[in-house]
Amino acid sequence: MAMTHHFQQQDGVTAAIANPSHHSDSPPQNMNIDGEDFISSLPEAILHLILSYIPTKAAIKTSVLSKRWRYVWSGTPCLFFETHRFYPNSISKTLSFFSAPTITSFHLRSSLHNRIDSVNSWIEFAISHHSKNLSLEFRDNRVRNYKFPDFFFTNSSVNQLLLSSGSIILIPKCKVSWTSLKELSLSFCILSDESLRQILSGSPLLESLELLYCSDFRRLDLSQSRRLRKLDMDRSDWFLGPTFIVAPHIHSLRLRQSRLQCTLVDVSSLTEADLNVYFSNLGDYKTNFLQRSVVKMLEKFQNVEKLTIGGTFLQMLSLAALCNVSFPKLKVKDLTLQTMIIRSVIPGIIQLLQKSPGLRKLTVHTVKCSSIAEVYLNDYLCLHSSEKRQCWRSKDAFFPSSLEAVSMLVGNHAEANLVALFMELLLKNTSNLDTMVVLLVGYLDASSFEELLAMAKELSHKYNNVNIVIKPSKVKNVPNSTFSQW
Amino acid sequence: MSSNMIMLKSSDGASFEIEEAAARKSKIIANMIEVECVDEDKAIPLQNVTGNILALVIEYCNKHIVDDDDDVATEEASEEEEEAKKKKVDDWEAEFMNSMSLETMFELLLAANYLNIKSLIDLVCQTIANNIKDKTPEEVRKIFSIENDFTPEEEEEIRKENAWAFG
Repeated sequence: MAMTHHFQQQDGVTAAIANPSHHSDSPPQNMNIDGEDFISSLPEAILHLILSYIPTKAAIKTSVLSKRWRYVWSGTPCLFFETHRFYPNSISKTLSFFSAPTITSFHLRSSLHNRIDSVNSWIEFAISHHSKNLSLEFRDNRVRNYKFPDFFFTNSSVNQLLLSSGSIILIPKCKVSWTSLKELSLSFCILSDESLRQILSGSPLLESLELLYCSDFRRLDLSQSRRLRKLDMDRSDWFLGPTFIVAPHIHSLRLRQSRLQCTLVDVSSLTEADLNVYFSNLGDYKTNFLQRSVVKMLEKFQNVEKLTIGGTFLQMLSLAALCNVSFPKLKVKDLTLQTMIIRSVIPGIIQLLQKSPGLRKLTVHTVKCSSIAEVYLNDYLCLHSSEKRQCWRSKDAFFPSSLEAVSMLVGNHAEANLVALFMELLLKNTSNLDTMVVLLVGYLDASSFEELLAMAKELSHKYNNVNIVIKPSKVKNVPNSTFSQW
Repeated sequence: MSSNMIMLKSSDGASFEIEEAAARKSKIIANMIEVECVDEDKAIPLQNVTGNILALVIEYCNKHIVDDDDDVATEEASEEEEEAKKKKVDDWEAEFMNSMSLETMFELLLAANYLNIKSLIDLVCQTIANNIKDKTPEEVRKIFSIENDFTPEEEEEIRKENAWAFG
């Protein structure tokens, strides 16, 4: 793009802009009153680019700035509407003024109540303008029977599709054809096995799939999605039953389990996995499938080299360890444990470490996380452990219970010795470790932290000069889920 | 990492030496290097960028190439370290943008666009956009010295057309 002569002159620079992070409504301090109007002489394409960074409502307001600006907004390639407060007809009218033939992204955040026809026409607008990114968030659950129009399901432009809904049942009534789709994210959608199958078979280029709190499907068969590399799944408690995942091509899996079982049938290409479970009540578990199911999951990770495991999953691995379920051998090189330092994760961690002889790097992130109450763990052990006396309280009692740990973590009043003993326990159970990283959230005050650093030096000498890195960490909670934003 | 230096020449004849890795932030320059249009002894002429703007572009590229190196060096960069690093970069960027006049800012945007440096385009557009959103049209006119050439009636008509946006 050629620069115009306006910008070659070096004199008369009087304009200054306020701090860019300045968000208040008051006008900036250093503006010039008699300065030159540089912005209006920028090329149209650049102005469109600038307006892409603000919500469409604000972009439209530039139409009254001057005649030059009258129609600038209508060529902006990114549209973002948040429509709860507005009459749908006025937005439809506004869109009729829109002049750009194609758009790169269309983001709609709307209610469906009383505006289904409008929503459909907006989706049609986005699709007819070949939008590459389409993001639809419906934030009410009053409308349960909304059905996406057929044209939504046949679209060759969309690259990234995000759909978040309170309760929409996603049923393609026609053959799905999303021939350019690479990233799909569905949150809070209700999908049958058949709907999911149709969507997947209509998306041959899919590389990344996110299913957050979606329900009803039982079988996630990704064996035909040959380009799919990344699966991210948060399972909700209102699943009807166990789910089977067949995903032979994925390389990366992030799974947040619900209380219901999820069986990994085939994840043979997996190299990276991140696992945790959300639930705190074991009271309903009368059968002993639990400890086997978590270990079965590990068995599927033959080729995983980078593994992240959360606290509750570690507790369940502990149950498995204490019930003498044998753990598979792992090829993990890089292991991250996101857990509080509590006694109920220890048997599980020890087993994991002993079965990972190739481990080179171990990271412990002492996040505050949800955990299963010990009373449930003990009840469960009494029911299912062959040696009923074997209870970790006696063995690992030096380490705090989850309640005590929360108080230490928040109050910073643990002793350095506690953390050091935990680290030593980990070191004792590894053999080829190069690096141990401890990201410490809370637990220690400043002077105890210094003490710990000194102790870590000794530990390093004692265990093959392993490189030990300890850092205070500010991330206090592990978020329960991640919603990607475009 | 290679520390190849290359020369850039601005439209007004000023020459700048820059690390190849930093220059590669520009897709245009990266392409030139790929197809070996770059003669080792010769400076790359950039006919659309003046020396004072090119100096800013280079400052930006150098700053960001250093950050990218850091990422590779500290493998155990954790979330909060990344957060801290990001804050450092954000602060630098805020200061960088804050230090220039509006005119310079627009020239920089055109240069970034010409050189195709995506992250710099994002930064400048975002900075300008922040001065448009959440402001009334009157405030925006003042900030950018835009003269209102509508009659009050004409302006009223446009406001009516998209009344919801002005509500």
